[in-house]
Parts: sequence; structure tokens; C-alpha cells
Amino acid sequence: MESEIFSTKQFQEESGNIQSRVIDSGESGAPEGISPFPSGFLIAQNAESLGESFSELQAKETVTGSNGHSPLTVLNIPSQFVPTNRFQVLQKWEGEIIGISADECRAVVRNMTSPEAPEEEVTFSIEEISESDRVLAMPGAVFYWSVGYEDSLQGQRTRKSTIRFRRLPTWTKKELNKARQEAQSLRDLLVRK
Amino acid sequence: MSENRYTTPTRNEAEISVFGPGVGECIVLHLGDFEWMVVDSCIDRESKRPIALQYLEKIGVDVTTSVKCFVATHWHDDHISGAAQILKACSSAQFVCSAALIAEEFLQLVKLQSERSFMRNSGVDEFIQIFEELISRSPDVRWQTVGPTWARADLPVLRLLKTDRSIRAEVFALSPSDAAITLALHEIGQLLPTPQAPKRRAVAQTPNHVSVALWVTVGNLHILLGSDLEHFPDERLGWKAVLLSPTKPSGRALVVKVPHHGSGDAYCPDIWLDLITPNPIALVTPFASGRKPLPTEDDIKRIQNHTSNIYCTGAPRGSRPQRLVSPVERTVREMVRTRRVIQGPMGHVRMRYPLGMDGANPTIELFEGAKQLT
Repeated sequence: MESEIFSTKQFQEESGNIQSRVIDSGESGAPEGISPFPSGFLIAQNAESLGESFSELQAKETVTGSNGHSPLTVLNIPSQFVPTNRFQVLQKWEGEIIGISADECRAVVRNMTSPEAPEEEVTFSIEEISESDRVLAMPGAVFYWSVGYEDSLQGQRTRKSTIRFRRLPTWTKKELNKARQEAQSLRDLLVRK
Repeated sequence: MSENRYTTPTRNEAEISVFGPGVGECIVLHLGDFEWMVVDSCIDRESKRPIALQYLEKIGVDVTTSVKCFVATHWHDDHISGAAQILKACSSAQFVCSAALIAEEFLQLVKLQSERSFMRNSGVDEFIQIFEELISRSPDVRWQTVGPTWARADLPVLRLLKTDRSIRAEVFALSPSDAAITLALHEIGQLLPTPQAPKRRAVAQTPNHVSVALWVTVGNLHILLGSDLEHFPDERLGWKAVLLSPTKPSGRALVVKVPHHGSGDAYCPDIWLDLITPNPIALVTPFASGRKPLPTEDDIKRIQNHTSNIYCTGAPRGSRPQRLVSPVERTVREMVRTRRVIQGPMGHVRMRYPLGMDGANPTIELFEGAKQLT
């Protein structure tokens, strides 16, 4: 028996007469068999059949539907499964900033869709970077650039380009001190006579 | 012409081969008596190997014994890619790099960068492999190859003076000056991260103060290899410091590897008068990256004031990128201001010159997109 998944609101409205609504997963990134809803919870009928996908979600409680059929499980939805518009990626690059001015970024980009393609150098306006990411846009910073179609929940399609900067871990004092000590040892080795 | 490409020069024939794929350069020199030297490195896009090794092996050179010296003029990405592989293969070669790189600041940067994986290798990554190779060489067996030899202005880098050699060959460092080394240390210090700074790749943004410009003498032939040495008003820096040195080599160069891809920043009119013969052979590698790919038309005109013999390893402007699927192509056109492929075919300019013959004419050959700039 296939799993049937409902939003909390829908469950409240339709309890006692559950209507199954299997929503297409896929582009949203949700595990197969789990469909995203805007709510923070999912109600899954026969959730065990979701298998591994089910185990990725945290079961909150199990209740029995008022129709007396299969038990219903309330699941927390991790934020990445919260539905947004669907984005169909047509082309993706990994890029690295090699120069930046007040209004322009210069970057080397590597084609992740066709890895055999040669690296390219591109320049684009700083305005193409979201305000929240602009602080990260410095020489050496790595970003991901995707171009594709966004299909809205209302069914409208828009051609879209997104640039997201990789959040890099930061150096610790301990790491910097260790590098300083190793540099001293390296120097001793290199200048030996 | 390409059928003659992979031939070995004779014992008494000097060779300078300059390679450049668009971004990156490498110079291979025959110093006579079947002994060779490599300056800088770049990778062949098709074979993914350092072009110097590929070329030398194809012309039948045993790189383990015949390459006597490998110089990394500075640590910028376009001059150092594949350098560690060269050093590993050329196990008898003495390694030479800028004296500025002995600084603990640089070694610290090397250590820090080697612990991170980045999208692209950097010149700093290459250095950790170079140093590991040097350390692995036993000082008891080959102490002279452990090095590095720390090059600085007015010091010899290599002297091939064996009694059985028929030709004198010497290499002399023209830079960096003491003042340049001080500035370079400051530049490198600026790249060192502070606690809580993101683990970004180190990208050099400042002038090439550490660059090692070289003067090569093989028999009666003098060659000036300009590296990326720039020209500054301060007489303690760049080409002015070279010209004012009381110990600069005598003679004039017939061949010049034009500094810094012919850029105006590296143009010092006096070197063309004091160090270089009239109408010399000028060899240029392009730099297809950046807002203004080098050499620009103005750069070429400026060099043409000194010589009509200008040879470049490739197109300075890079090449047109591959067309993308229609909706992506449209989006990219709307979004980006410029877009180009910066690495092209590995252009090769080769000059061979018979030594010990007065009035001998050099032979110039061009391969893989290299061309004469007119």
C-alpha cells in the first residue's frame, strides 16, 4: 500500500474522511515518497512503507485516523523539505572569485554540467550577488552559479540565475599556531647545509 | 613545419623554447653540450602534464640527468603549475626560487594552504610539493640538489664550467633586489589569515616584487628572461634596480623574453637600450585573464619601437567559449559582461642558434598557434 501524505491543516479539515493527495517529489530534494508541505509537520498514513526515507524524518507521534484505517504518523519536516517553487537546473558552474572592484566581480568558472569543458573567465556586476552574500565575495571565495527554470506553485515558469557563495570554515588560533611551528621546522630543513 | 618539431639541437646549438597556452608560461633552454634548464612551468591542457617534460621527453632528452636547473621565478599560478612534477622528474636539477620565499611568512602560507582543498590548485599548493620533493632528496648523496638556491639580485644561479664542456654557460639573477624582498615579505604577510578568517585560497593581488629576472649566457649568446619583473619609479625596485646595479652582467642580449606579458607596468625603456641589442628577438607569452588581456595593442606597438622580431605563443585575447543550450546562453548573455576561455592550445616559439659562429643567424620556428606580431 502506498503512503499517503497530508498537511496538518488538511488533516484537521479532512479528519474522519481522509483524502489521499500524493504530491510529486523530485526537484524539491525530499526523500522519495515524502512530499513537501509548507507546514512544520506531515501526517503520513502507513508511514513505515516509506522505509529509509521515513527514518530521515523524526516521528512525533502516531495516531489512528478517525476512519479507523492505517495508523497516521505525525512527522517533523526538516526545513529543507519545506516546499518552495520548483527549480529545474539546466546549467551549473563552480566559480572562484579572482578579482573584485566596487561594481564588478571577475571569476574563473568550471562547468559542472559538462566537466570536460575548459575553464572560463567571466565578469559580472556585483549586483548579481545577493546582499547577504556580498560580504563573502572576496578573492579566493568559492561560489556556485546555477541557471535554469523556476516553476512556481501557481504554475508560472521563470528563467532564473542564482549565485550562492560557499560558507567556508574559519581558521582557529590553534591551526595558525601549528602552521607557524611547522613553517619554522620547514625553514630549518630547507636552509640546512 | 611541425614534422621538424621534435628534433634535438646539436651540441653547439643553443635553444630557447617559450611555451604559453593563454595563461601560463614555461621556458626551456639548451645550454649547449646537451645540458638543459627549465624556467617556470605550465600544464598542457590535453596531456595534463607539464609542457617542459612533455617536450624534452619527445625530443629524446633524459630529464633525470640532462636538466641541470629548474627556476621558479615566482609563485603566481601562471608560472608554477606543474613545477613539482618537473622537479620530481628532473632529479639532478638544482631548484632555484626567489630569496623572498625563504621567509617564514611564505612557508607559513604554504603550510596553511596545503591543508585546504580548493577548487583550483594555487601556486602556494605547488610549493608544498616542491619542498617535500627537496626534503626527500638525500643531502648526503646529492647535497647540491637539495637547495633551494635562493635567488636574489647580483648573484649567480648556475655555472656550467666542467672541463669537458666546450661552451661556457652561466645564469645570473638580476632580481629581486633587497628592497623588493622587503616589500614582498609585506605582501605575503598580508595574505596570512587571522583567527576567524574564512579558509579562502590565497590570491596574489599585488605587483610581482619577488620575480626572478635572469641573465643567461651560453657561449657568445646572451638571453634576458624578464619574468614578471615590473618597472617602478623607485630606483631600489624592479628594472631600475637592475640597471643601477654595479655588478650587472656585461654584454647585450640578442633574445629577450619580454617581462610580464609585454604589459606597460613592466616597460622600462632603458633596458632596451642598455641590456638588449638593437632589433632583438622578443618573445612574448600572452595573459588572457583580466580586464585587459596582455599584450594589448598599445603594448605591441611599444615593443615594435624596439624590434620588428616579436613572437607570441598565442592569441592574447583567449578564445570564444562553447555555446550553451539556448535558455542558458540567453541568461548568461544578459548577466555577464565578459566571458572567455583563457586556456588555448599550447603555443610554442623556438629559437635555435649556432654557437661560436660570428654572424650566425638564429632559426625561429612557430608551433600550435604561436605567431609573429606585426
